[in-house]
Amino acid sequence: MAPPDEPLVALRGAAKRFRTPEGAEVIALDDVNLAVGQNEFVTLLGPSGCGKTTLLRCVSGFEDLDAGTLAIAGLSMAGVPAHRRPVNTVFQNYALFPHMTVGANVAYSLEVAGVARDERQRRVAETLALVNLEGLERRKPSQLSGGQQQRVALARAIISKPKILLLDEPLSALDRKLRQNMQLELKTLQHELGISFVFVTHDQEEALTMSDRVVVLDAGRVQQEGTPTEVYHRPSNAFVAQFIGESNLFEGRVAAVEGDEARFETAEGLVLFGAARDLSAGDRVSILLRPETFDLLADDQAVSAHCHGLTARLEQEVFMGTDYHLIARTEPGDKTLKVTVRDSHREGLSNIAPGAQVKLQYPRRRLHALRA
Amino acid sequence: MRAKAEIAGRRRLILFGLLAPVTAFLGVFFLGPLAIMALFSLLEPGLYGGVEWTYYHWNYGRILGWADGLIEEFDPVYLVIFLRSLKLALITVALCLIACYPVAFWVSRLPERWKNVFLFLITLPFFASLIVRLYAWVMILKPSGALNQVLMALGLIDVPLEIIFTERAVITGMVYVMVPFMFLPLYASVEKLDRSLLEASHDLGATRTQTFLRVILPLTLPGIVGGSIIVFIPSLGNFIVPDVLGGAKVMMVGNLVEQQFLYARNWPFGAALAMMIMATVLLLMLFYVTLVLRRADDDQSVTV
Repeated sequence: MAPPDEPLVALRGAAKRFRTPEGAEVIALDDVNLAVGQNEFVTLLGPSGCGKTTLLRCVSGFEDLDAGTLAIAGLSMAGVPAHRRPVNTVFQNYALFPHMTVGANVAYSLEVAGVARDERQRRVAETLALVNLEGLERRKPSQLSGGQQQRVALARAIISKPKILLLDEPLSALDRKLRQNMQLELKTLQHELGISFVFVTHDQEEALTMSDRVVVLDAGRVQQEGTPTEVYHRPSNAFVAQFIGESNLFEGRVAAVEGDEARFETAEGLVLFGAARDLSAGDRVSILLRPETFDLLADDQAVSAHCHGLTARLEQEVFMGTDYHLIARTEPGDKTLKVTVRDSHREGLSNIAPGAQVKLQYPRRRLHALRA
Repeated sequence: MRAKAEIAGRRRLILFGLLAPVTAFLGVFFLGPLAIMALFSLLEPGLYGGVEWTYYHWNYGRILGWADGLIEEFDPVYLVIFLRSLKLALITVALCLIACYPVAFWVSRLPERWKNVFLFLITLPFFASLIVRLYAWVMILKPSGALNQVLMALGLIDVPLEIIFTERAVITGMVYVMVPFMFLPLYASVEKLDRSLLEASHDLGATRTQTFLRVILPLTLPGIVGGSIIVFIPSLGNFIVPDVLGGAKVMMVGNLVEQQFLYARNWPFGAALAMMIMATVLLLMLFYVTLVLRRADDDQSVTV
C-alpha cells in the first residue's frame, strides 16, 4: 500500500535517549521517520530493546521526544498531553481497571468525556458485540479468561473511535492457538472500523500475517520498511534477513555479470547464480537463500531450467507436520544449510537418510544479494 | 469416599489444634476482662474501690443525662470531654491522612533501596520509649522551648506562643504518634497500584483529576479505610498524649477512665466510660465501612 499524501501519523527525525539506573545512556530512538496512512495496519517489529515500545509511547504521549517532530492528522503533538491525543492504546498487560465491571471499563473513555448514560450503554453493548463479548457487562475483569480480557481491552480502546489504535504486544500473553485466531480477528476488525492500527511485536510471524506494512527496528533505527513480502523476500540488510524468517546467509562477492545474471563466489568457495539487478563484478555481497527456496532432487533427476544445483551431505532431519526441516552441509564448502521441504515432496525420496549425499536446487531469481 | 471423609476429618482436627491456643488466649485475656468490664459498668461502686453486687444504671446516667439527683449527679462535663475526644481523634485521622497520602506516592516511586531506607525511618520512632518522645515534644513546645526560641530569634513573634497544654499540642502529639500507623497500610495499597492503569486512564482521555477520582482513589481506598481505623481507635481512647501534652486543661475520655480506676476508685463508672468508648468506636466503624462499601458499589452501577 502506497503511503497517502498526508499521513495520519507523521514522525520525523525522532530521537529519544534514556539513562539507566547505573548511569549508562541508552539510545532508544535514533533519527526515526515513520508515516502511517489512513486505514493502514502498520507493524513495528524488532527484538526487545529495539525501541519499538518507546516509539509507541512517544506517539501515545507517555514519553516526550528529545528531538524530532510528531504530527497526528496534520496537527503537531508537541506539548499535547496523552489524554488529548486522538489515539488509544491496547496495553501489553491489558491494564483493565480491576475495581470496575467490564461495562464500566469499556465505557470509561465515554464517561470521562461526559457522554450521556443511554448513549454510553448503547455503545458499550455495540462495541462488546463487535469483539464477541455480548452480555458480559456486569462481570469483573478478574472473572474473565486471558483472551476475554484482551477483547475487553480492545473494546475499551476502540469505543470512542480514535483515529489511530496503538497495540503494544497485545497477543504475547495468549497461547498459540488463541493468538492465531486473534491475529485474524484483529485484521478483520481493523478493516471494519477503518481505524489505522500501529501494532508492536517481536514476533515476526505475527507481523507478516497481519500487516499492510512492516517497519523493522533495531538499536533505535529503522532497518527496513515495506510490505510483508518485501521485508521477507528482499531484506535490505543482514539483520532483517536473519530476524525475519529462517535464512541461509553467505558472505561473498560478485565474480562476474553476464546479461541479467550474476555469478557469485562465496567465502567457502561455493559458486552460486542469481539475478544481477544493479550489481557489478567485484561487489562484496551477503547472499540470502531462504530454506524453502530449495528443492530436493532424486539422484537421477536433472537440475531444472532457471535453477541452480548444489550437493550437500544431510546431517539431520526433523519432521514438523507440514514440512521437514533438514540440516545439511554443502560439498564443497562445508557450510551449514537449512532446507525446508514439504512433506508431500519428501515422500517420493524415501531413500534419503542422515549421512547421505543429497542434490538440491533453487530458482536463480529467488537468490537475494545484499550489498555489504 | 470413606478415605475422603477421613482426610476431611483429620484436616478439621489439625485446624482445631492450630487455632485452639490463640482462641483460648483471646478468650481468657480479652473476652474475659471485657465481660467483667461490661458487668461492672452495671454495678454499684464500692466505698473503697471494688463493687457492690447490686444492679445500678446510674453510671450511665451520670454520663448521658439521667441521675437520681441524690448520690449521683448528671454532669455534662463528661459528654463535653467525650465529644472533645471524638473531635481530636477525627482531626488526628484527617491530618495523618493528609500527611501520609502524598508521601506514600512519593516513597512508592523511589528506587528499591531508598524505599527500604524510608520504611526503616518510619519505624524508627518505635525504638525509643513513647514517654521519652512525648517529653521531647514538651521541650519543643513549652513557652521557653525550642520552637518559641527559634520563632523569636527569627523575629516572627515577640511573645512566646501558648502551645503546650492546648488542644493544638495534643493534636500535634497524637499525629506524631499515629503517623506510622496511617502510613504503613496506605503505603501498602499505593505500592500495589499498577502504574499502567494510570496510563490507561490518561490514554482514554481522563484528566489528572478524573484519573485520581476514578482510578487512584477507589484503588487505594482499602489503605485509606484501614489506616483511618487503625489511627482512630487508639486516638479516641488515648490518655498518654493528652496527659503529657494537654495537662489538666485538655482532658480526654481516656484520662477520665484512668482517673476513675486509679484515683477516684469508682470502678463501675470507669467501666461505663470505657464501654462508651467501645460502643462509639463500633458504631462509627460500622457506619464508615458500610458507607465506603456502598460508595464503591454505587461507582460501578453508575458507570456501566
